[in-house]
Amino acid sequence: MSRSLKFATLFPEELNLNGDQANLIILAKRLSWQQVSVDIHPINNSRILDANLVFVGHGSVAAWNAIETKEPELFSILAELVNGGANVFAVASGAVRLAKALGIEVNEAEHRSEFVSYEQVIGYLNSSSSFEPVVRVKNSILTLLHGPVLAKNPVFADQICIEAGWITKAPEGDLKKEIDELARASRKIALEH
Amino acid sequence: MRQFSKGVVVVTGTAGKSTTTKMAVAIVRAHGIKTFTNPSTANIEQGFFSTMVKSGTITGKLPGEIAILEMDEAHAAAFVKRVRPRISALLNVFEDQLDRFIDPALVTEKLKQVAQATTKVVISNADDPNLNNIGGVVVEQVYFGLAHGLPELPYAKTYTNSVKRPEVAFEARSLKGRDLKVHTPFGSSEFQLPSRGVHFAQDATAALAIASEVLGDEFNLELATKVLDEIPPVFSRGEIRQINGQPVEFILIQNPISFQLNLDNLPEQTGPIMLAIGRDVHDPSWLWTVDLKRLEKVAVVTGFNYADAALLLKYHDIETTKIAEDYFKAIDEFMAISWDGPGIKTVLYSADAMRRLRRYLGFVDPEEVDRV
Repeated sequence: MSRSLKFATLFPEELNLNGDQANLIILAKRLSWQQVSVDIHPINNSRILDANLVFVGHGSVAAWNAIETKEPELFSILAELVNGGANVFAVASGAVRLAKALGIEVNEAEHRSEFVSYEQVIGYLNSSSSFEPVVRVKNSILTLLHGPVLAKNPVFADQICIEAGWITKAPEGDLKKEIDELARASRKIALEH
Repeated sequence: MRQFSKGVVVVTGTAGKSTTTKMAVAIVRAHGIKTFTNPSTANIEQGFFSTMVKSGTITGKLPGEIAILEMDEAHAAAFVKRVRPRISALLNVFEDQLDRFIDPALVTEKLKQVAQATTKVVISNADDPNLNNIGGVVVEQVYFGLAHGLPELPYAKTYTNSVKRPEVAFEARSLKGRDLKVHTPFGSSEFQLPSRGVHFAQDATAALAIASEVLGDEFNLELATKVLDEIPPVFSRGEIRQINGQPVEFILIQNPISFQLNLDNLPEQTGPIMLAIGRDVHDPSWLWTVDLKRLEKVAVVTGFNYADAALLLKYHDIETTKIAEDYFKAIDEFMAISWDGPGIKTVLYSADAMRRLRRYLGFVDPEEVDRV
């Protein structure tokens, strides 16, 4: 591997309710095709180490109660990171909490539980929060979509890597082609449900 | 439903409803009690009421002195508003169907409603932190559980300080292979489970608790033990059939927990594996919560959600021989694989994929399952 990156993931045991942590596996795999290795560091406190990417997954009500009791300053620290230009990727309930910490207006709306397509990104929305399914703040991405969002969205995954400067162009190769073809089929099936 | 002289029993929770209900019904019937039940394919209100219509007489009378019903968590909560059960059995809360339930706490709330509507006894899982301190239950509570030392089941986490484990009346004490020993207030019961896995030990222990509460003084532990020792598996829970002259095992994976437990309990050596994820998996995200280390190689991946299942395998570097969009063609190709061992061919499939395969292969009678 010609380059190595460090990804920090917050409370991965608690924040994996819908397989959200898989997004890091997907990024790491796609980066490996371009000789970029990734070390994934679980972080179970608010002392977030200097990382190329900070990931915040989705947890149950009970999980968030436990985390926010233990680390009440967590999201103000994350908001500072976002405002300072760090790469933070937050999904579902993690994104809602980060949005609120960033001062984004988050209202309650009618609950939706369905696949949605938003700006070429397709994923599962299971939320009653009102902001758009994918929001960019400086170098960070907040998405209301939950689970392994990047599995269905390889272009989005590669775009994250390119915009962060970890690679200069989308990967190539037979395995990439096969996986991206499956992702296309998966997107089509999702919208047929 | 009020016509049942011995009342109504509701068996609910995330996992194990079908097996537990089938075991409890078999024990109660063996004691000579006419028992009405619903097939596992009819555990939601719609299916349940169609079963009632099919089973009832022209005057609407259902056969039996007692009804022992397995019910999906949400539908159980709705059902008990109309029919209060005499006995309810709350099996467990796992992280499941979150596209529908959103959060495990909401599932616990549904089970609490069932418990609070129960008029005589609530049978609960002492090991599940979601259920062992459920609150608001005014009737007697009887607990079942797995003894310390047996594998623990991954209940939905509550992240609260654990409450003292309630006193357990029915406890699985040891499990070696499929040989289970259960301690009960009536003595010890030793028998062989119909299928592998500690989750089946939990089901059998719960079934003994249910049957003893239903039968009261008539409960005969020796007879109950004999029934459990002979009962065949519920279809697709470790069911083995001969197809094209070769044994094939069928394993239903309905949610993260059943996928995980069934993978963990695969034999050391398996033959070729077919993984079929059907249309019932509305949001396949949960597939990515499962630890796949036991799945080294998959011969065929298929079903309506074949692409999501294949992505999961590919990103985890699991060798996949065939990715097939056409499910019936995939079944034919898998069943045509010649395999002399070690291990036997195994089908892991979701509920929709199961129904389609069973119809396609002509397995029309869900009770027609042999014990091996």
